[in-house]
Amino acid sequence: MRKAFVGLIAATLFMFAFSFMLVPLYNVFCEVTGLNGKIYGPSDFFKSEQEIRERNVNIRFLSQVNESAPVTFYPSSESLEVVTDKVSKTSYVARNNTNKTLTLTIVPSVSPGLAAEQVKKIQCFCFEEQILAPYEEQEWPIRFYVDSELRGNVNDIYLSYTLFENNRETSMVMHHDS
Amino acid sequence: MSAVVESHDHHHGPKKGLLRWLFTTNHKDIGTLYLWFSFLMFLTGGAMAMGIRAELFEPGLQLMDPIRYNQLVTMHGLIMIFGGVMPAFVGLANWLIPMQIGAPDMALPRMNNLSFWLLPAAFTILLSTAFMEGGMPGFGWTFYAPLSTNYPNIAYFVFAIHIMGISSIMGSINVIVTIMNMRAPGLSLMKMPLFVWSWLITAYLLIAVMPVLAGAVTMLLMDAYFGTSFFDAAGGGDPVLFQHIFWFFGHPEVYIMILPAFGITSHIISTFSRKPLFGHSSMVYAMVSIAVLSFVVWAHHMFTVGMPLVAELFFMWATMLIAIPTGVKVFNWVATIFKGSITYETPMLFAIAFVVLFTIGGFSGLMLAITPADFQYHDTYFVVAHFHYVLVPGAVFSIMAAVYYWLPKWTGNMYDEKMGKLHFWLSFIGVNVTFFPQHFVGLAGMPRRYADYALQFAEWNAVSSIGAFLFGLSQLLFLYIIVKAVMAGKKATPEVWDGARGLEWTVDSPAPYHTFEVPPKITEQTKL
Amino acid sequence: MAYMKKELGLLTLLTLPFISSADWLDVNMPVGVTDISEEVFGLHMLMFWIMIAIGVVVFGVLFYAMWKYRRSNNKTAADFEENHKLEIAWTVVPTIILILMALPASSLLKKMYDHEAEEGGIDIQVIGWQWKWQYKYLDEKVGDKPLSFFSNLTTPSDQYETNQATKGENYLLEVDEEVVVPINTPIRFLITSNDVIHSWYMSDFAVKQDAIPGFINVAKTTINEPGVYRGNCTELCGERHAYMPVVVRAVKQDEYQDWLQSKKDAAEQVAFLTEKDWTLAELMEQGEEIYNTRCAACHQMNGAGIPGFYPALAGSDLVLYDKPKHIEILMEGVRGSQMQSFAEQLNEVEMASVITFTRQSWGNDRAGDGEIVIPKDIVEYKQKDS
Repeated sequence: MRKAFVGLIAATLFMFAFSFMLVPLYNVFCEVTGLNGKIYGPSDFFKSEQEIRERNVNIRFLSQVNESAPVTFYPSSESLEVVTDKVSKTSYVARNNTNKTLTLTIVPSVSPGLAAEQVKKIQCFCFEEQILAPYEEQEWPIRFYVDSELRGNVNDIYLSYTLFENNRETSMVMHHDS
Repeated sequence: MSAVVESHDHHHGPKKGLLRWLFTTNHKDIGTLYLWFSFLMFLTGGAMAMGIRAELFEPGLQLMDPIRYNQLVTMHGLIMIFGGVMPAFVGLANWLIPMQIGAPDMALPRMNNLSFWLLPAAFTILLSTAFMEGGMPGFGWTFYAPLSTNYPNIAYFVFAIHIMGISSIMGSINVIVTIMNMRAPGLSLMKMPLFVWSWLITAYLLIAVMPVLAGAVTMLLMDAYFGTSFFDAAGGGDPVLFQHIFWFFGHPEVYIMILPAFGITSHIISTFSRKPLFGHSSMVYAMVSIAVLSFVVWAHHMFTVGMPLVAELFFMWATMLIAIPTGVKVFNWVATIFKGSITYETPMLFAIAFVVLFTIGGFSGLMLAITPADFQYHDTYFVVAHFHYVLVPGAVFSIMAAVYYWLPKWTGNMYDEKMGKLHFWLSFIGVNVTFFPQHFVGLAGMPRRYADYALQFAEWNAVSSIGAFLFGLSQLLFLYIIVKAVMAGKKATPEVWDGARGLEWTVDSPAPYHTFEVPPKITEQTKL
Repeated sequence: MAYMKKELGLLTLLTLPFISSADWLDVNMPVGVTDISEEVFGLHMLMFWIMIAIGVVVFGVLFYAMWKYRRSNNKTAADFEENHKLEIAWTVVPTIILILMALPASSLLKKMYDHEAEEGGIDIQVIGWQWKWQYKYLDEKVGDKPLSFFSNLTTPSDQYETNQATKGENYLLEVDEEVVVPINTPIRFLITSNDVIHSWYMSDFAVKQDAIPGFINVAKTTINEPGVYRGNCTELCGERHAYMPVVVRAVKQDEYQDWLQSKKDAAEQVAFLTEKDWTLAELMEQGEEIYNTRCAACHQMNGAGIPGFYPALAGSDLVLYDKPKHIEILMEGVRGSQMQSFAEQLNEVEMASVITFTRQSWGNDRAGDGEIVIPKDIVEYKQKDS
C-alpha cells in the first residue's frame, strides 16, 4: 500500500515536471513541423556548388507594432524578388518616439508556416534585444537566404516582424485611473 | 440475495455535533460532505447561469455590463466543473467504492478528510475575488494567455486552482490505493463493478493531467508576476503554447467528468432491466481506450489557431476514433435493456435520458471533429450546445440518477417517487428547451461568450432562457425531495431495488457507520 | 401522467411567441458565397444526415426495447451477457462509417489549406485590436504606406447600453469602414493581433482564423456574389468582445477600383485639410461624430466615464487645463491601461476635432476661451517628436 502511495505521488510530481518539459518539447515540435511559422537562431550559409538550385521566390515584408509601443517600425522595402540558395539583404527601420531609452524584442513569423524552416537568416535583429536611445532612429539589416529545399508550390512568402516593448506594464483589461 | 453482513457496533459510532464533520475520517461522512458541497456549488454555478441567461434573454445590455457578464461566464464554468461535477463524483466514489469492493473504508482516511476540506477553502478564495477591486476572473474558464496574464486578481485564481488540484490528486491517490489493495478476497479486477472501474480509470487520468493544469497556472503566475515569458511573445514565448498545455489537461478533463457517469449508468440500467450488464469486459476496454485516446486529441479544441495541415488531419482522425469505443458503450446499454423486464423508476428515467441525450451530444461532437466544418462551428453556440449536452444531461443527470438510486441505501429512506418523476420530467424538458435551440443559433453563427448579440438570434435565445429558468428552478424541487426523504421518507429494505446487484445492497439500509469490517467472501454465486 | 401534460402545455404557450416569429432560415449554417463555403455546407449536411440515420437506428431499437420489454409486458428478463458476433459488428460498422466520413473531410481540408498567392489576387492584412479590426491593403499605397483603416462598431450605445433607442436592422453588425473587396478575385487575409488573441470569423466565406500577437495566420477566399457580409470576433478578447464585428462589402472589379481611388483621394485630401483654417463649429461637428464611435464606449456619451474603470472626461483637470498633455495621451495612449494610442487610428484632422470636442463639451469650456485644437497642432506634435 505504501509502495503504491509513493508511486502515485512520484507520478504526480513527474507529470508536474512534464508540464514544464512541454515547453522545450513544443519548441522542438514547432521547429520540425514549422508550426506557427516560428524561426530559430542564426544559420550559416553552407551550400556547395552542386547543391545550389536557383529559382525565383517573392518575399514580402510586414511590420507590426504590438500594443501601440511608441516606436515607428517599417521595412525599408516592402518586397524583394530573391533567388533560392543566394544570400539577400534588406533592412527594417525603427525609430524611438519617446525621450526614454527603449528595450525591444522583435518576433518573426513566416507565412506559409511550412516555409519557415527554409527561410534561413544569417543576420537578423530578431536574434537579440534591441535598444533605442531617446528619439533614435536605427536601420536594422537582415541577411538571409531561401533554401531550395522549399516546396515547389511555394513562390510567395510573407516575412512578418512584430515589435514588442519589453518590461512594459500592461493591463489589457482594467483601466487604472491615470 | 445473501445474508445481511452483520455490523459490529462494538467500537465508536459517529461523534456528535459539528466536530463529527470537521474531523471525520469515515468514508460515508466524507462522501456526504462532498455531495452536499457539490450541491451547494451546483446551485451557486446555476444561479450564475440564470444571470447569464437573463442577460441573454433579449439583445442589448439589460442587467449587467460586459465585464460582469464575462466574470459570470468564467465563474459558472469553473464552479460547475471543479465545484459541481468533480466533487459530486468524488463523493459518490467515497460512499460507494468501499461498499462495492467490500472494504471497511478508504485506504487513506485522514488524507481523505484533508482532500475534502481543501475544497471549501479553494472556492472561498476563488469567490472572494467578487469583493475585491478588479473583481472575479473574466477570461473564461480556459484562461487563454495573454488575456489572462494581464488580469487583476489572477494570483487568487491560480492559488484556488492549485488547491483544487491538490484535493483532486489526493482523492485520486486514495481511490487507486483503495481499489488496488482493499478488494474483498475473490473480487478480481475483471469482476469489479463498473462504477469502481470507471473511477479507477478516472483517478489515473486525474493523476496524469491535474499536475499539468497546475503547471499551466504556475507558468501563468510566473509570467504575470516573476517576469518569465512562457506565453509572452515579447520574451520568446508563445501564446499558442498555452493552449496546447491547457488542452493537454483539458481534454482528459472532460472524460474525467464523464467516465464515472458511464459507470453509474451501467449499474442503473442493469438493475431496472433486471438483467446483468451486457458486455461487462467490453465496457472496461471501451473506457480504457477512451482514456488512452483522450491524450492524443487535445488540439481539436484549437483547429483555428493555424496549425499545419498534417496536425489538423491527425487530430481530426484521432478524435473521430473516439466514436468507436463510445459507440460500443451505447450499444451495450441498449443490449442490456433488450429482453429485460423494465420498470421506470426515477433513477432509470435519468439513466435512459443520459443514454439518449449523451448520444446526441456525441453526434454533435463527431460533427465538431470534422475540421472543415469545425471552422464554422468553432467557438459558436454549437459548441456550447454540444458540451452542455454531454455535461448536463450527461454528467449531471447521471449524478442525479445516482442520488435517487443510492439515496435509500445512504439514508435508509425512500424518496417520493411521484415527486422524483416530476423532477425528472421538468429537468428533461428544461434541459432540452435550453440547449437544443443553441445548436440553431450556433450554426447560424452566434459566437459564444457574447454578452450581446445580433437581432437574428433573439427568438431562440429567449426560448433558451425560458428553458434555463425552468431547469434551474426545478433543481429546488430536487433539494426538497432529498430533504423530505432524509427527514420523513418511507423505510427502505436492504435490497431496495428488486433487480439490484452488488455488495452495497447486502448491507442494511441505511448502511451502518462501519461496513465490511470483515471482508465478504466473493464466490461464483455473488451477484455483482 | 396528467401533471406532465399541464407543464408541457404551459411551456409551449410560453415559448410559442418566440418560436413563431423565428426565421427558419436562421437555424442552419449559411451556404455562403464561396466555392469552399458551399463545400463546407455540403460536408456539414452530409455529417448531419449520417448522424440522423445513426440516431434513428439506435434510438429506434432503444425505444422499441423500452416499450416491448416493459415489466407489465415481459415478466421475466433474459440473462445473456454477451454476443461476440454482435459486438464485432458494432465495432466494425462504425469504423467503416467513420472512414467514409474522414475521406471527404480530409480532401476538403487539404483544399482549404491552399494558401498560395494567385495571379491577380489581393492581400489584406487583418489586425485585431481591443476592440476593433484594422485592415491594411498590402498591394495599394497611399504615399509610401499601404492603404490602411480601422473598422469600428457604429451601433450607437443608446441601442445597447440604455436600450432607449430602437435597435437597427444591423444591430452590432455595422461598422464605420467596411472592408471593400472585389468579387471573383482570390483574396488572402493575413491575420494577426495587436494585443490579445482575437479570431476573424466570416461564416459566409467559411473563414475563421485566430489572430495571435506575433504570428501571422492566412486564410484565402474567393467571393462569388456581390453583397455585404457580416461576421464577428470569435475568441474571447475582453470586455467588448461582442462589439467588434467584421463587415465585408464585395463589389465588382470596377467598383472596387473606384473605391480604392476614393480612399486614396481622401487620404490626400487630409493633407490639404491640415493646412486649412478651421472654425470651432466645424471641429465640434466632426469631433462629436468621432467621439461617439471611438470614445463613447468607454468614456460614455456624457463624458462621465465609468468610475473605477474609465476616467471621466467631463470636469477632468487634464481636459480642462492641460492641452499638451491631452494631445499626448491621444497620440501615445496611457501605459498600463486600456487607453490606446490613436496616432495611427485617427488622422490629424480627426484627432484635432475630437480633442476640441472633448475640451468644449459637457461644461468643459469653463475657461470660456473657446480654445480649439487645430490639425496643425497635431502635425507640430508629430514633428516635435521626431
